[in-house]
Amino acid sequence: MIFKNAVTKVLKMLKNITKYLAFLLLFALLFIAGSVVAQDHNHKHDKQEQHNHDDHNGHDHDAHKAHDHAKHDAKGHEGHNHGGGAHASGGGHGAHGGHVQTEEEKKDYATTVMNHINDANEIHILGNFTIPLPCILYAKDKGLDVFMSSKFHHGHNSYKGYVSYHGNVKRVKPGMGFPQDKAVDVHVDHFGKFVTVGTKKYPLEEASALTGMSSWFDFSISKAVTAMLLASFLLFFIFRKVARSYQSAPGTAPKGIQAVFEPIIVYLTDNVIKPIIGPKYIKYSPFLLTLFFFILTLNLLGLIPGFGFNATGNLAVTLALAVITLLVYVFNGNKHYWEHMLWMPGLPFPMKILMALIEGASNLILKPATLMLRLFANITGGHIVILSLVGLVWAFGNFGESLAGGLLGGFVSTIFVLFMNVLELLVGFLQAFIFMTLATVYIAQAVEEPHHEAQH
Amino acid sequence: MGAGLGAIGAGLAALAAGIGVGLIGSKAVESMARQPEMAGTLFTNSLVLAALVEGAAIFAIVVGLLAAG
Repeated sequence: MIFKNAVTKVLKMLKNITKYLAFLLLFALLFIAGSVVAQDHNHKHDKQEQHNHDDHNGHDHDAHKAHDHAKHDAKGHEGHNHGGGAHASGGGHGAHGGHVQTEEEKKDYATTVMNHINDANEIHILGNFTIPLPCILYAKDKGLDVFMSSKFHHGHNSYKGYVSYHGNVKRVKPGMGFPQDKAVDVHVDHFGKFVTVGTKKYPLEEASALTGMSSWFDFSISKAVTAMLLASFLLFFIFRKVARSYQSAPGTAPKGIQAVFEPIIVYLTDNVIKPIIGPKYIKYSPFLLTLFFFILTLNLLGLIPGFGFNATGNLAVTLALAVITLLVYVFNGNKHYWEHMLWMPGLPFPMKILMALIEGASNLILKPATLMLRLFANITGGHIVILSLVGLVWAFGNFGESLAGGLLGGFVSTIFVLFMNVLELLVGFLQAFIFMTLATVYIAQAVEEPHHEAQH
Repeated sequence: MGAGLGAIGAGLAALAAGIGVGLIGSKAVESMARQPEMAGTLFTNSLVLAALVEGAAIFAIVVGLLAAG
């Protein structure tokens, strides 16, 4: 009996230890990842660091055929000098000697954070390992260009007049004599405003939105688009499976993945959509549930370390979601809704005009604008905080000078980043829920039937 | 100068929104304690109101960023 008790006790302890071990393992992984990432972030600043170019082998390297890796490593690093390989341009790299970063640029972590927040044309995982994405670029003066972002060779090359600034494609301002046809060895400055070829400096242009502010448009399958496609496929397959299990075994208890989603769907339908919209809820619940799960999936994809998807932290993505919501409630709005928005009954004439302006602005502009900004600001804010905490490694390590400081920073930042990641998990759910709830409220306001007709 | 003022403005807006969300939260929890059967509706309503209050703060942050930018 005593023996049995002892065995149960030991088993219990072991169980607890495995719990702690799993936690410690997670902690260690985060610690290593955090330190490595932060070290990687200053790889371009740290002169002592080994710059391993072996990762390049997997890429399409037509221009780098003669790149001499051994020579490159032996030579060490002077700023952005990437060794004496025979590039397509045929020129040496001596001109890059002048691009050693200034003290201020070296300590400018804010720009690094913003470069990670912004959308990019490649998925940068670690060091020189990136997943290239297709660039679909259209310039008014020269037409469509379609190519993979690996052509930029991590920003060291130009391609067809475009350059890559931390994975973000920019165009060299046309008409300045920049070589358009061949790939040139380039250096983009710290803030992504200029590109230097040899000793010549060319200004860069951002892609324009619909307004056509600059000379070109970017229709690329960027990182945010990849995240959205991934989320769509994931949701499509998950929900097809869930729907199939309802068809194949109707009336039985939910099993497997169905049991994960049924409570969520039932909770949202019964506690949010049905009470707010009322009897017509069945028409709108597919759209609202899709919104919820799509935003939730994007938020959670954004928390996977390494990939850095920031789709819901991208204004264009949240704008699209908000505009779709706007269209849904504008096109489903009944007479009652439009009358109360544009010609409020029971008011004197001047007030009617004033109310129409206020209500119109509120319904057609402010509601989607707040939907858009709330999601964007919450997700971007969280990502900025996480990246800033990762930057502690850098700051503690005196910007790549002190290894001991870096390790201490790694320890501190691991704790904080772990905490922030857990918090972001909550925020991811909460923002998806709030977006859906507000969309439900806006739709309900547009479709609700008048109850108090007599009071007007 | 502009950046500093923008940051101060965003901070003030965050302060005000914080007070607002705090009031909503305290009243919502109080009401839920008084009438637990209404908890679901109260929770949803308080979330919506908190989101609306937060909207003002977000606008202020955007204006602050524009002033800083």
